[in-house]
Parts: sequence; structure tokens; C-alpha cells
Amino acid sequence: MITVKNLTKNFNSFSALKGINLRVKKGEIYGFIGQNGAGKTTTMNILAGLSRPTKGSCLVNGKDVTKIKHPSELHIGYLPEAPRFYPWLTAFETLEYLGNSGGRRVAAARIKELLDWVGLSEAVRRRVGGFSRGMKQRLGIAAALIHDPELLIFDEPASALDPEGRNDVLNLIKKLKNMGKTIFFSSHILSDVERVCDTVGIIIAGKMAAEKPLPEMLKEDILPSYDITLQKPIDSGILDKLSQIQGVSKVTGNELNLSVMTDAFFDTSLLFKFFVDNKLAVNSFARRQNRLEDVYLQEVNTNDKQS
Amino acid sequence: MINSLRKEIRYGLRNNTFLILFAVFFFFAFMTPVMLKILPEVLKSKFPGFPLQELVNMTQLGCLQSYMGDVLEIGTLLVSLALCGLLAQEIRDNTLVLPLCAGQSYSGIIAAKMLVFGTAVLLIPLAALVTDYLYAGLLFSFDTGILPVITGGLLQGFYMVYLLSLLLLFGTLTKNPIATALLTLAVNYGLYFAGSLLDIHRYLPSGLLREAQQLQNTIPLQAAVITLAIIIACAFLASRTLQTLEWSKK
Repeated sequence: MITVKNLTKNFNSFSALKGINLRVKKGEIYGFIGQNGAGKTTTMNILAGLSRPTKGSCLVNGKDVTKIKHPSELHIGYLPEAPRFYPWLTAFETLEYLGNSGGRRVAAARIKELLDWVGLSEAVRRRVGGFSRGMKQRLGIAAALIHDPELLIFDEPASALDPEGRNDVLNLIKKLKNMGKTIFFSSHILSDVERVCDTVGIIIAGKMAAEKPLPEMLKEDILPSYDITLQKPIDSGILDKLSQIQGVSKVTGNELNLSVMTDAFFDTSLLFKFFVDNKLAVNSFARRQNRLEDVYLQEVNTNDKQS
Repeated sequence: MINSLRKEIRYGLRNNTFLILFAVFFFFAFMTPVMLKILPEVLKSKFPGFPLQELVNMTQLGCLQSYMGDVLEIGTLLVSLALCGLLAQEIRDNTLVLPLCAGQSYSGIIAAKMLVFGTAVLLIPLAALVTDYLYAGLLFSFDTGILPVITGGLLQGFYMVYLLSLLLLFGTLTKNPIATALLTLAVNYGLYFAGSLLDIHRYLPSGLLREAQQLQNTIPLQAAVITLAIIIACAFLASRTLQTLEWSKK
């Protein structure tokens, strides 16, 4: 649905995107993650046909965004990070105005159905100016769906919401996938991405650092960490000794729960030998499951070292 | 198109834009006859023997011409301030992003604003001038025909449509309502003074206002054609500029 090759965007002397590549397949939820200012919104705006790339090719729904004359030619549903509506229109009038744009007609029943679907059935006749941030976000999702597009591009759809609002938006995204939609969404909340996405792309300082299906990304070789729970409290002298074992890079935790980060080829028998030598009884010992946050932080650290 | 027109009408009604335009023109329409009527009484008590009749035309025609002068000096300022955010504010606030993604055309956006607010600024000055004519007739006497008044009102309204087209074009260029108003006023007053200085009003939109003020039921054809051409050019350029804008802000 989306194929981006060598996408570059310069704002005067500042290079916001430095030749990124990405591919979004039909029917998947693609999570686009990166720090604030990494280039997520710039990419989103280009994909939505609202900004022109400096260089590179960008196919959205089979259309080259550099050759379109109007954003609506891309036939996508777009939700900006902070969707701006006319405060003096009601929710119904807003969707009516957007729905009946570009020579299309949308029935009142469809508008009511959409508002109901996003949980705004009580606010149909209320002016948008009085809506909370979460309600505007829901209305934005309804607006993106008004013409029933196959591809949805959501820029930080849940980032500014409270936990309940975030949960609702993520559930809506999952429902949309079940309806056969393809969703490309950006976020800097990694747990959100981990919860709903099929594929993840990491952008760091305008460059794609990684792009993989989520399960594959979570299997990635990041430096191993071990979570250890001891039977009895230990003193800080033991912790110091532990961190001096060859191959141990960092020891964190308290007197009962330890987290030991090691080199890639660390021999775990050294840890067990240490516990036996120091007469330390161990309640549990487990290698930590990779989380998207670990992968992401490793990519950020790698990028920092390179730059 | 009806969809866009409905949205602009709702904007005008719910943000009191029509009400402000109405108030601006009708304030002058009611005030000028009253001022001319009570001025001699006020001056008579303060300055006995002051030859006011020789300085001011104390007739219905005088009222109408005084009203026209007020509209040029203050009316254009107030209209510019009332309508400066029509497009500039929308660009600055990014409220056009969703309509554009939904399929609103650039030219449709401009056309809807021109049609709705163009009609308002064409008809409201006309209605205000007719009101001024009737009120001045009641206070003084009906010494002027209605036809020159209607022609004058339409010329004045047409000038306001030209002002609106400038506001839309400068709105796309500056993306800032106040800068749009200031730029429009600078062009408006600048062209008026240039017209007076070089005696070229007949080739400028200001020729419409000059002719309207004469209330002679004549249409300055050259000025009207040039104004129409400027209005079309401004609307076209505004649409083109809108198309080339980068909606890159969050």
C-alpha cells in the first residue's frame, strides 16, 4: 500500500529526512516509531500529500505523491497529530462537510453510524469547540473513515490522551485492522506500538534505523539481561563484586532483586559460580524477554555512538 | 459547492461576521443624517453666527456623500479587520488540512468564500446606503433620486468585493490575519492616494468609490472592468498559492 524509497526532505539547510525507505503491506498495522523531531510527522505529511519530498519516490495506494495535484487523489484517511476542526460546527456538521467534499455524498445515517462507532453518539449535535482532546481525536478518526478508505495514516493518534483514551483509540485501530484496513501510524509510546502493530519501523534523526515484523524485531540480538531474585538481602559489597565478573557490563537493582546486563557471549555459569562461592541462595533466575523498548533503545544508542 | 457555501454561511452567522459587517455599515448609515441634523443646533449655541450652511451640504445628498466618505475612510478599515482571518486564520490553524484530505478543491474553497462574503459585502453596503437615503430623506427632504443611490451602493459594494479578493490573496501569502489586514489596507489607501496624486482613479478600483460618491447614476466602465480583472486575478492567484502551500506544521 505504501512504498517509500530514498525519501529526502530538506527545510532550507535542515535535513528532516535523509533518504528513508519503508514498505507497508496491505492489511497490516505498521508502527512508525521515533523520538520527537525524528521526522515522523514530516514523513506522514508527505504520505498524506500535504508536503512535497525534496528527493526520492513515494507510492501511496499506487499513486506517486510527487505527481498528484491534490491530496484527495491518494484516497487515504488521514488523522493529523492534533486534528483541527471548525469549533463552530457540530460533530455531525463537521462530518457532513468533510463527507460531502470532492463531489461525493455521504448519507446522514453513515455519519451517525460513524459517530456511534467512535463513541461520540452523545455529542452528535454538540459544537466541536467544546470537545475534549480525546473527543477530537475520536472525531478525527471518524473523519478519516468518512469515505471508507482502504489505507489509514494516523499521526500519533493516542500520544496525547489519558490511559483510558489511549486504550480506546488502540482498540479502534485493532477493530479497523479486523475490518481489513491497512493502518500506518506513528507513535513514540512503544508499548502502544507493541500492543497493536504487525510491522515496526524505527526512524532516528531522519534515517530508518530498522524495519521488521514485530515478532522478528523482538527476537533481535540485543545484549542479554538476566533478572535474578535472591532469597536473602545482600550488601552493596557483593553487588560491586558481581559487577567485576568478566563479561558483566552493568548491575542494577536492590538487595533482593538484581538485573545483570552482560556482553553478547557471556557464560552464565560464571554467575552461578559466583552465587555458590558467596553462599547466595537464588529464588529465581531468568533471561529477560526482549521488549520493543530494549530494541529501540539499542538502536538509539547505536545511532548515538555512530554520530 | 453547496456544501462549501453552507459551511461559509455557518461561519459568517456563528462567528458574527455578518453581524459585524451589518453593524459597521448601518452605524454610518444612521449616524450621518443624525449628525448633520443636530450639528447646526450644537454649533448655533456654541458659535452664534457660524456659517455652517456654506461649509457643509445640509441636504439628503450631503448626507449620502458624507456617508460615502466615512465608508472609504473607516468602513474599509473595519471590513478589512472583520474579514482578515477568512483564509489566513484557516491556513495558520491548519483547519484546511482535513477538508483538503477529504477532497475539497483549492478553487472551491476560494470560490465559496468569494461567493458568500462577496454577496454580503455587495448587498450590505447597498442596503445601508438605501437606509441612509431614506433616513436622510425623512430628516431633510427627498431631493435625490433612488436610482443613483442604488448605482452608488452597488459600486461601493463592488469595491468591497475587490477588498475581499485582496484579503484572500494576502491571506495565502502572509498566513497571518493581522498582517493580511495591514497589507490590504496599505494597498487600498496607497492606490487611492496614488489615484488622487496622478489623477488616474478611472483606471483604478478607487474610481468606483469616487464615482459612487458623486451619485450621478453613471458607471465608470474602465474602473469596473479593471476591478473585475483584479478580483478574478486575486482569486486565481489565491487558489494557486493555496495549492503550493506546504502543510508541514503540526
